[in-house]
Amino acid sequence: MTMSGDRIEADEVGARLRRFLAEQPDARGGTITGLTRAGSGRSRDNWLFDLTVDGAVEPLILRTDPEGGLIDTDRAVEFGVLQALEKSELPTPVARWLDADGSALGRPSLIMRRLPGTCDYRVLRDPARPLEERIGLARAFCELLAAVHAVDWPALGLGGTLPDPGPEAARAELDYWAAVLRADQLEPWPEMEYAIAVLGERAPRAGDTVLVHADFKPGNILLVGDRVTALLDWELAHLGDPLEDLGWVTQPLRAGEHTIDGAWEAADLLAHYERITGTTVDRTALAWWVAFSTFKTAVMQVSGLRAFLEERAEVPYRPTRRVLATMLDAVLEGVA
Amino acid sequence: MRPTIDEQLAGASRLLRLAEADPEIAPGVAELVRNARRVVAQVSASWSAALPFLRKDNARIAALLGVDEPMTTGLDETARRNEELRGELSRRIRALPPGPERAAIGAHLRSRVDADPT
Repeated sequence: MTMSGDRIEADEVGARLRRFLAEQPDARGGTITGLTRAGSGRSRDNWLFDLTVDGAVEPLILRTDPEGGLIDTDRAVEFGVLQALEKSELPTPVARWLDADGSALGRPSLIMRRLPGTCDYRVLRDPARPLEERIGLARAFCELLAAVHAVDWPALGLGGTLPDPGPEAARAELDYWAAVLRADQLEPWPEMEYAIAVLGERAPRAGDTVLVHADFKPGNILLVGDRVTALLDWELAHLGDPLEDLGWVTQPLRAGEHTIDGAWEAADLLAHYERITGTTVDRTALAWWVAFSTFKTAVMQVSGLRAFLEERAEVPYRPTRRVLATMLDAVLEGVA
Repeated sequence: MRPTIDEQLAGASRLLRLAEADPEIAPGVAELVRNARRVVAQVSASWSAALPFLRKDNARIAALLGVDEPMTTGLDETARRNEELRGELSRRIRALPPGPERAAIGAHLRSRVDADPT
């Protein structure tokens, strides 16, 4: 798309936004300024803008479902989770308005208050930051994850938005992602069938049911300097086993985001988590969740491939050799 | 046969690299060009090895399944047969209990990941 194409798209988004907000009692008569697409790429469809109502300026972000991507999630669920979390101590954005079916904004969308800070996927490997600062950030991220798991979800009413899988959380997640695979695969994937078979036989039972973020990573954490200002992207959040998030952040495929070579390894992350939560992480069950995380990543790539071939995505996703090899190594050696 | 397939793919890569390096390019367009160049690079690196790989893979899967493997000729036919065999292998995995037979399939799949040029 050309610069003028970007301008036309911004004009269309602005027109839709104005019509949508005119229907909202607490936004009526407001003025939209500074509408720009977030980031420089096309892989995200988030738009930043300010809304001025009666002289008060509110910084906002419009988060729209992409036409195709790695995951297909329900914006209404994310909106409900964010609303419930406003009553918690977690640093989450205030959810303002929802267009659940996309009838007003073109695609399912939610509008949130914008928080200060920037995301950096590779912040723990950023050579511009001193090592001590990066280790401090790694600890802060671990403590943020523990805080997510400590959320009193029944008191916040999250049980009304998210189903509680109880001790069968592992089985429920495996079934969910196996169903995504079946829905999106364009060809047989015996590699993933093998993973499903092995994981299905070894699914651990969950001890506690907690709020699981399910895509916890530095790229979803806003920072101002070395201070965490927000945890974003709650579209995959659900109730489940805390080991699910720990498996996600300690899986080999994510090492570049969550570890610092020689200074903050997966074992350090787990030890810190145990220290601050006063719990002991079951390493056998964790190995299952690590293996599951690689399977989930592979399924996301299958969904992404379909989206690309159906011209809903512009990134040529495909199950990669690295992901398939890591997944099979995890089920052959770690679980089988 | 000039240009050869490799020459055409190399030419497409070169043109995409030039477009990507244009200082006037819009960020969104640069991302599209980069993605296109990745696809071309992947095809360039794999197209000539695809047919021998699929033939060998078909023979290995047929042996695992205990079925005869009919001779296939062109890429389309061989790829179609590979998909059929991988479908049958998926069904076999779902039916098998843990044990040496399933472990042998797992070992095949792991080595296939390393060997797959596509």
